[in-house]
Amino acid sequence: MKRLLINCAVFALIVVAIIGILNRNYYPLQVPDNDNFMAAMIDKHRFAEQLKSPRIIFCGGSNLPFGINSQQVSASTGLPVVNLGLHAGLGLDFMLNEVKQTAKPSDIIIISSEYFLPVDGSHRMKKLVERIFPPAGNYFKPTLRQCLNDYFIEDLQNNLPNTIAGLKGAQRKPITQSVYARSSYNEYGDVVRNFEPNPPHDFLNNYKMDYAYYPGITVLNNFKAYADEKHIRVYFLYPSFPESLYRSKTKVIEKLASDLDQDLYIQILNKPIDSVFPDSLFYNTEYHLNPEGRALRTKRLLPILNALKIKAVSN
Amino acid sequence: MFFNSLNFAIFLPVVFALYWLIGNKYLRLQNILLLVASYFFYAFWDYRFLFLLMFSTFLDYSTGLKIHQAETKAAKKFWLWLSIIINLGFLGVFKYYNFFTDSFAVLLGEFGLKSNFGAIDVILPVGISFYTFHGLSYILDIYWKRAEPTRNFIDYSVFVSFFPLLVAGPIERATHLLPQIQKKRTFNYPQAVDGLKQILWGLFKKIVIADNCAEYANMIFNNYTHYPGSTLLLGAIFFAFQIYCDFSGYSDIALGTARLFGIELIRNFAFPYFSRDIAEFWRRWHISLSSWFRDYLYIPLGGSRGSSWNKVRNIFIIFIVSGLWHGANWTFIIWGALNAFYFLPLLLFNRNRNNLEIAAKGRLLPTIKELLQMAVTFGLVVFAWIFFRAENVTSALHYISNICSRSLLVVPDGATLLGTHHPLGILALTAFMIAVEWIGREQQYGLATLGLNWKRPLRWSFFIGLVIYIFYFTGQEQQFIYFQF
Repeated sequence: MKRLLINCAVFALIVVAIIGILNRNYYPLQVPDNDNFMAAMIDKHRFAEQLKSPRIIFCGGSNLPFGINSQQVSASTGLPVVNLGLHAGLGLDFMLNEVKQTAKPSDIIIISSEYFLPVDGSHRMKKLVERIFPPAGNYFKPTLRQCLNDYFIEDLQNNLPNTIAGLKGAQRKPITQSVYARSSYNEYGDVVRNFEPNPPHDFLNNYKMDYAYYPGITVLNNFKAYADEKHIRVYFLYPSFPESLYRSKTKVIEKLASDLDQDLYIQILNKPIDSVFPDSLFYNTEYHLNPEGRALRTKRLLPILNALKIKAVSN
Repeated sequence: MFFNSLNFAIFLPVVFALYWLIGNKYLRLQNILLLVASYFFYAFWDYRFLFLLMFSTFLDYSTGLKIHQAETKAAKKFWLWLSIIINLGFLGVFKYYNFFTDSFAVLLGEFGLKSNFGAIDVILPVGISFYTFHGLSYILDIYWKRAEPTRNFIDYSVFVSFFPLLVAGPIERATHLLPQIQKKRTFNYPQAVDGLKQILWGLFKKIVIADNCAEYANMIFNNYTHYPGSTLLLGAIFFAFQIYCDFSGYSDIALGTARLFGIELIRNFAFPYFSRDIAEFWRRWHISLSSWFRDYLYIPLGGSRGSSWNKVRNIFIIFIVSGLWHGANWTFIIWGALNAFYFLPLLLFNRNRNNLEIAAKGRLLPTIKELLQMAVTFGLVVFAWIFFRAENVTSALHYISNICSRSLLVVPDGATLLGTHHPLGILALTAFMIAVEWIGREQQYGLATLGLNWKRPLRWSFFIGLVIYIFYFTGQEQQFIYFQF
């Protein structure tokens, strides 16, 4: 029995060590010509670092890069703006941790999370972002099960082919013309290029949204406490949403809004109806506005933000 | 809990450590541990069905004793039939009720009659076909006086529920497994190492070969109207290796795991794709089920004795029942019937026992004749698998007719098959698996003796390589195909 245990332990240690060598991210995709949509995080953070506080930082899913004209917001408020919104799949917790590590005292954070945005998000997506932008590893804490899965399976499967490709000197993927590309963003972090002329509007059919008390409220309140401690101002803004879907889901959204009004400690800047736009102004999902829709949403937002700026000055 | 899951990777070492810590001085305690571990393993899927398993165990244990104690033939028969009816009743309700009522309704519809039996919406309890057959073999053996009933309920429960075989076999016999449960088991280093190697080989077959072949087989079978005949043929071959590596991989893990506990289970696969005729194939494929049907159905029906008509009838019964055992679908019945057609000429011309030894025994390479025989047998098996895999009979017929078209001559286009790994890579790994199994075909499993004469660094490098391949090719946890049966 002792012999078996010793042999198994040695065998396992060798396997762990070899996998540890093979699963490293030797060629992080942190190169300027990498065109992954998520690689925009590199540029957003680089841009954020260049800005002096107080800054306006938008935090949320992809409703933000598709729905805000940050340049216009900056011009109107006179404050530097960075749009950190990237992908709802990352989850609320990831987004708030990201902004925690980015924001400085006196910054203004505007959270615009999609309705019922999952708190945890997709671990696979978070790992993808970490591979592209290693500091993102600090924005989430995997469970032990996820750690084991990452070490033995996910990292090995994703990094080993990259290492082999890197050793072979393989060329990076060429820049695509897709809207889901890093090159579709401008310096502020808004998606401004590569829109298709007639995208399908299938997302308006079979849309599902059911009510359940949103667990993200507690997470948001914890974040608010942190922000108060650091003298960071936080606001909440409802995401853009198509008119027809809003009509069919009014009860669910109103119930959620009522919960937020009652339990959320963060100041809410608008009402759900204020972020409702005609279906024709949406691009390819229920949260992605097209450039015309983005202009309208920004137009509605500016007076609210200007009012906040006045407040900031008076404070 | 799947064998290819993190849960099992934690569960097995814990149970193994506790089991040998108890040691063979406390056999009863060891058996209790095995039973608790087995019930925990089963409850991990759905604890509600654990009660069904316990009831089935209690039923067969009690009726086994009753049959043995009964003084008259009629009383013995009564207890036997009570157990058979209840066991098969559960199986019938959970597995076949909807199929038979639907089929009957269709039949009535042909005569312009309407029926409304109503479908029942139930989940099939995992492993029900397997543990029902364990129990049936036990009471039938007692009835035919091939075995004595055990008076120890724990021992009997371990026989039915032993976790390595609980959900997908092999289907054990009381005469083989119960004596092992009842006697002291000592730790045996070579046996344990052999068990670990068999588990490793099983995981390699399941994760590296079966799960990746499944990706292509599913893609092709689910979209068969979009592919040329040559790709459809490739899809059928992918499925042939998927089902083999999935099920034999499961069996290897089960047998290897049992060995870690000092228990030898019935062998379930003996390199069936190296068979030179269908009779040999059926002696090598899902051996525990084939032999179960042979011993408890075919031989009681008269076997191969009697008139030609009897032989034909018995063969059709056993193959169709075998098909039906796999699932309540006409595709399985046709698959069974097709195999009966393949088998019949061999039986009628007394050629069904021509190839009892493994192909090319004692030689490295087969003769041309053997190679051709293996290729033809494999072709027939692959053809039958199309029915087994297809959603329904119509799809299977369309699939076959699309293969038998001019597009069979079109070179399959890899670009139309977008899987996680390149199809040629998967075929290369499948070729590696076949090579290992060919080399080890005279042993219990492919990897049994491979590398025994190598120096340790080389041998370990080979095994470490297999482990890394397993991790590298692991995808989403895929259920074993035979769990649904």
